Amino acid sequence: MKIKENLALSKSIWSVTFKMLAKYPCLLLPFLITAVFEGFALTILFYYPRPPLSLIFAPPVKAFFGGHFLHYPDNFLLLPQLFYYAQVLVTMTVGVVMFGMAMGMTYQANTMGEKIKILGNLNRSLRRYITLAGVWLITFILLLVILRGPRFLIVKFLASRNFNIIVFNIILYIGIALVFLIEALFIYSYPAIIIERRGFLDSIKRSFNISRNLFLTTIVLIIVPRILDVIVILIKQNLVRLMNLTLPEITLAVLAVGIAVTFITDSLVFLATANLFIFTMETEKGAK
Amino acid sequence: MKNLKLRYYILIFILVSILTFLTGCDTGIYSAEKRYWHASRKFNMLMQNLKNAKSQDYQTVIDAFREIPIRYPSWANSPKAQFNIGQLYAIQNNFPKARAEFEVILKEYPSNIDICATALFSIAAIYEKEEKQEKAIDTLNKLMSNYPNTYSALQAPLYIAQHYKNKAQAQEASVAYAAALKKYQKIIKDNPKTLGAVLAEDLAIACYADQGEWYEAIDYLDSLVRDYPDVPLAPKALFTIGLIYQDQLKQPQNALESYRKLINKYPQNPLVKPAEKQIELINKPK
Repeated sequence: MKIKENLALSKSIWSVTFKMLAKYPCLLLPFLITAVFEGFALTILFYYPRPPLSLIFAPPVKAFFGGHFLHYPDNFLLLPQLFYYAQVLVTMTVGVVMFGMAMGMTYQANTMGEKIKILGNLNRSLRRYITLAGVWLITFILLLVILRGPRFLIVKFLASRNFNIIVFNIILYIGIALVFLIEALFIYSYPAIIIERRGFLDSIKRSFNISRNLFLTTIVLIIVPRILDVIVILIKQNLVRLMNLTLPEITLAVLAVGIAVTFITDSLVFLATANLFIFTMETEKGAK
Repeated sequence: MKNLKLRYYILIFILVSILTFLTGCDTGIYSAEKRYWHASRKFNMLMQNLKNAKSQDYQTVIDAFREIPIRYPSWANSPKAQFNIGQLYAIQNNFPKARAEFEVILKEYPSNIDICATALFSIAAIYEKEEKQEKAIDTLNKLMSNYPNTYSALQAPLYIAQHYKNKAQAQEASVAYAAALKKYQKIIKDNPKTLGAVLAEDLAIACYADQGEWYEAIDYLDSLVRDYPDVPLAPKALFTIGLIYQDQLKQPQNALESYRKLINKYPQNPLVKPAEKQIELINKPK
């Protein structure tokens, strides 16, 4: 497919997605549930230096990070890191199930006349949890290696060199580009697991095939909403400076905005790519 | 319908319970830390802009600190907040009010010895500014007798001597410096291994310095190196000897000798690096 056709396809997929969302707002429910869980985790972490939560959090925080993080305003310095761990936990448990649920709901919304069954899709997703979590885990490990690995090596071996900051920035941008690529390669595994009931390896293979054939369309569907995520990441990287300029509580606000942004971007990315997957599926059926 | 209402009430109950669980049991320490941090931030901003500060600006910071001892009287830093209030009045030259605020510390937090000693020292300083010499000396004597093991009490003899020197009362100053030196030398002799001895060493040298007795200072420091070679006093004394030769007596060769002695004798001491820097400075072509 040519570039123009690819872009036109992305445009029409978005159009379908937005129309679908207008008709079935309940498609946002899985992403909203994940966001609520993340919000709850953030609330818990915001209160961690105070009793009664400090009874649980104080010993590990003291042991792994230092006692001063139990006091104001240093607790806000640790908050982003703790929230990152909480987000990983939420995605690994609730988030993955919700992604699967959203795939099933999108398929039902595409099948004209069929009513969207929320609980039915939740049940279907729960039954495929291990496979869904497996795909997520592979993606997560790859992203971890891409984003943290080179930095770790640089800090270890080039710590005293002056060009550190430049190298760090170059690696950051290359890392972000690779994150998009990895997401594009694996994104169709979720609909393949739920809609086509494929197994773990088969779903990944299927995802790679679709991504290869519709690479530009997939990348556009992912990158455009994810720009918002990149903006939040850049703000998070400058949180300490922002704290010094304003108040330590700004960390909480930025993290809360991050949850809202992830809710929007995840909804758009997953629903749009699920629609493209269904479109591909139907085209293949038609060709047969 | 009834069932739906019941569910609604249960949901509200759960939410309220969670909120109570999260916020209700706070012992107040975190809130106190937060208030103190915000008050200190205002204090620092005021200190950076003292020239343009109006009395209302001072009052805002005072009010911010005032809330802390009122709301959290048993919190560890509440006396510090009270101390800052006193300081803010002292900066405005409102001495009676400042003294009253420092006296609150003595009354409300008698078990916090360090801050009580600092408050008493500040009261003495205020009396001195008000030209109430006798009261200032009395307060410093009270400080030395009531809180003998505090840094403020350690400073008091030198402070008295400096006070006389500033007032050009040469004879009283000379007596006071002698008394201070005697006290510091006794502290060093009695407890040479303690931090108090290291602090006393600094104060003793300040006594010599104030009187311009540099050779006497070097003699005393030499005696410390000789008598206590295995305690932190000795390397510190060698470094100070180097500084005196270098900056006061303009004898760089003697200074180099002292720094090198320190480096050779105590290679692991944290003063080695500063000594090396001083050597570099001396050897630098002018």
